[in-house]
Amino acid sequence: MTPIENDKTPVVLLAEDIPAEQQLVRRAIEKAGLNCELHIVNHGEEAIEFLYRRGEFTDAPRPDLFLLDLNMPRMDGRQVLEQVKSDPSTSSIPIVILTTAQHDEDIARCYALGCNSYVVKPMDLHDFIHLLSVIGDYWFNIVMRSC
Amino acid sequence: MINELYENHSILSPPGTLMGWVTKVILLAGVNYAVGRLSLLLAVPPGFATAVFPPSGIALAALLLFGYRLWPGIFIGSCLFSAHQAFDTSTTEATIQTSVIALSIAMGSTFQAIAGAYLIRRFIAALTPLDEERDVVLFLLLGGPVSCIIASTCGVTTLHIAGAIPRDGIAFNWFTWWVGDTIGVLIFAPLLMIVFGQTHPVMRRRMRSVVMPLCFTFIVVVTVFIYTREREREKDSFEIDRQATLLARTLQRNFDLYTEVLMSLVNFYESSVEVDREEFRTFTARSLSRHKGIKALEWIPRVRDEDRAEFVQRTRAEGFATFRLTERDAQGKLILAMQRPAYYPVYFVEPYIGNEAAFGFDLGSNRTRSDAIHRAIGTGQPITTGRINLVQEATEHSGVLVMTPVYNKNVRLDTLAMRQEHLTGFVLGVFQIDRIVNEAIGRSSKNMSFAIFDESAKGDDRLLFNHTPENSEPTEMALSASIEMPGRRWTLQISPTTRFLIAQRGWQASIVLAAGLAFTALLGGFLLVLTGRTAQIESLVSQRTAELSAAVDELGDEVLIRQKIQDDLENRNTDLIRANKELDEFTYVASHDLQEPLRNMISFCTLLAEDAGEKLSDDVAEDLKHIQSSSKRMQNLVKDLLILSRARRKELRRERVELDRCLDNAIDALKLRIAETHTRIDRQPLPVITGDPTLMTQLFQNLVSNAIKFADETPIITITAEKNGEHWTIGVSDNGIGIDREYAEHVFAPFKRLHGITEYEGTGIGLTICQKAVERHGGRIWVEFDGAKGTHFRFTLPAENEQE
Repeated sequence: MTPIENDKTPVVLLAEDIPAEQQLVRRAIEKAGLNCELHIVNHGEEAIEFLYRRGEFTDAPRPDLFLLDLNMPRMDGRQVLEQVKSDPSTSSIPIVILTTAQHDEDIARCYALGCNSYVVKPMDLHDFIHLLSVIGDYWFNIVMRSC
Repeated sequence: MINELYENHSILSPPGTLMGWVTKVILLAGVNYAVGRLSLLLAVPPGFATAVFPPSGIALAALLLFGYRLWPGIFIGSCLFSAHQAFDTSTTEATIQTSVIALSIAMGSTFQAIAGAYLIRRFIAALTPLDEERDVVLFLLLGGPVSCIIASTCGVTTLHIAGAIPRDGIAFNWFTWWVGDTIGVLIFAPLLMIVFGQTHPVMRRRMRSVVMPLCFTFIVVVTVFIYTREREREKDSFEIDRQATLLARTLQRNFDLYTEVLMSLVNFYESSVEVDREEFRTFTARSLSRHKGIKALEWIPRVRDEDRAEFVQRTRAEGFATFRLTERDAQGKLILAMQRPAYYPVYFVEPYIGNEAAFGFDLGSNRTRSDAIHRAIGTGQPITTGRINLVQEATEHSGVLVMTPVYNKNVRLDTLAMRQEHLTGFVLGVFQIDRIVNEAIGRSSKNMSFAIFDESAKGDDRLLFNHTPENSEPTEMALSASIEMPGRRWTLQISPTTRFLIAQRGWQASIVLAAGLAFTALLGGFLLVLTGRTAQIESLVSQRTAELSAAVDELGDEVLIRQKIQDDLENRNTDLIRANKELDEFTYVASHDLQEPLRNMISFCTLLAEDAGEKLSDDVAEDLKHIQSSSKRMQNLVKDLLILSRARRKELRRERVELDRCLDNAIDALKLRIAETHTRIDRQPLPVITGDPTLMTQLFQNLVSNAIKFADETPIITITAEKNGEHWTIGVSDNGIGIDREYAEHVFAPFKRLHGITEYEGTGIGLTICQKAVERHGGRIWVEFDGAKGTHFRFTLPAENEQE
């Protein structure tokens, strides 16, 4: 079931402060065989700059999927989530919270702020790869992307 | 010696100046003298025996309060008192004797007070407040009955030697003296000690509790005594009155009787033509023998001067050869009667013996007698003469003559001239008054003093009779009664003698006084003991109260200290709870944050193995495997730590939990391993409790997991539930390798492993999580040893309140 009209490579933005984690996500996406354009920012502020094409990100594309870590320095995931979802110009960007913490409190809060999914990273690598392939399949192939 | 004692035992004031001392001595002497005089009011007359002699108490108290130096005050006071009682200055000898007596008595009183004070000081440590029972008793005993022996012994001995007290009076006098002094001390010494000891609070309180009741009682006793004594005096005077009246009546009757005797003799003359001497004797003999008071009965004829010779001649013819008419000269010697117009000679006199001298005595020669003769002729009535000295006997007696005129028969006697013309003579009776009175007195009135006065006479002649019994003195009480004699009025005066008073003395008043005072003294002693004891108890109570309050204070301090310790403990507990919470927090954060890098390590190892697997040497491949397994183990540890810390810190949910569901979930989580090991699970229905379902599930999961893990044969797990009162006891037992009894307590400690990691894998936290889960629900978990193979865990959970 491949979308007919939109064959443009989907843009994925990953906000993650730990390099190992960034690498792991990248590798897992590769392993999952997801065809996407992955952009990585190191913290919340960079993510905002990226989304509003400010600073060094003036040429940045509008992401089709935003993988957001919650615990980051300078501006954490919750703040980023709140800002993005409260701004109509960015609120349509799907945001998947990708975190190791299974916090009931966080889960409820993030959904209240308008996140689209809340996903806990599995311990096992293969589980993780599988997870990412499911997420990519879902957002890129199954549901309709907004323009 | 005395000064030394004084220095040592001064109570109230230090030795004052000489003037102060003199003042005190004079004061003490004056008070002792005055009070002594006052105490005489309480004496029962006659004599001075009094049941209370306060000066003895005052003296003792004075020496105790102000020191021995005041002894001259006692001496002087006593001297004055004794001197006033019986100082006789009539002769030099008497003056000296009474002075010596007074000094001796005073010396006795002084020594008594000094001895009393010395004994009391010797045996009693502190005179104020005198609250020991023993001290009170000793005080009264030594000051009273013991030392009071001195003055009474000294005084009575002195008086006896001086002759004032006869031998048989010694005991009585000594006793009354001793009693008086003793009671004086018993009552007045404590009173003064209290009154002058006001600086001490116990003594101050005794003013009300001892002095007032004592004074009141004393006054009551004295009042009752005075009343009783007055009653007795009234009784005495009534008795005296009665006796006097009786005596007067008796006397009157006797005199009347004697006069009657005379009148019968007159009748005899008047009825006879001629009475000769023999007839006269016969007629009078009977009367004389019956009436001893009649010393003589006489016939006094009137002999005119012209008939004198013939009369003398005729009488001599009767056998009286020496008969003549006589009279007494100035020396009282009988001489021949001088010539007078008429003579009144004693012609018949009966009894003749003893009255020879009167025979022929011319009554007209004597003033007293001739007055009576002329008055008798004048009145024509019997006449009593004034007092005459009876000459008939060797001893002198008072007497009176009663004479009655006898006239010629059958003549008119209307006028004095007629009576003078027809007078033939007189019948005369000589009455010896003392004889008559003594007959009348009899025995009953022995203790009376009598006197009979002739109211018509003057001066010394008034006294007709006076009688006072031996060893006795008339008192001032006197009663009089009239006695009518022919032609005269006599007065009888009766006064009771001291003997009468002694004989009559009602002991009632004295007994009232003695008993009352003894009671007062005892009351004083009793009150002293009582107040002393009360004071002691009060002081004990206040002491105990102080001790108690000190103890309470101490206790208060102790409470404060405990409170502080408690606070410290609570603070530390709070600190500990905070530290624990921080630790839990740390554990959680640490394990959480550890998880990510671990996951990364494991993931990259996996990637490495997959991507470069072919190219790696065997050694490197094995090393990579060890990295992976170590990381895995660490990951499990971190995971269990996370669970544990969650079990500890997570807010406990309190909801209805079906334990069966929890067990289901746990079994479901372990289903792979259960299937692999062919584990059999026997389960009883489990209860519903209130609690946290996650923790309960974790609990069952860990226990079942353990049972599977430590198996040496096909595991059989038995799950039981029973209700014990308010608790459910859940059992999870297996048929595995079991736990040694000695490790039963250790298995719940974190990281405690009983087996090598290669034998049975595990983190050593599983049972710690179980324990935490149970404890957080208010239960406990332990290893049960029932002898069966395998391990038997049991834990309790509070049963759900069925009413809710």
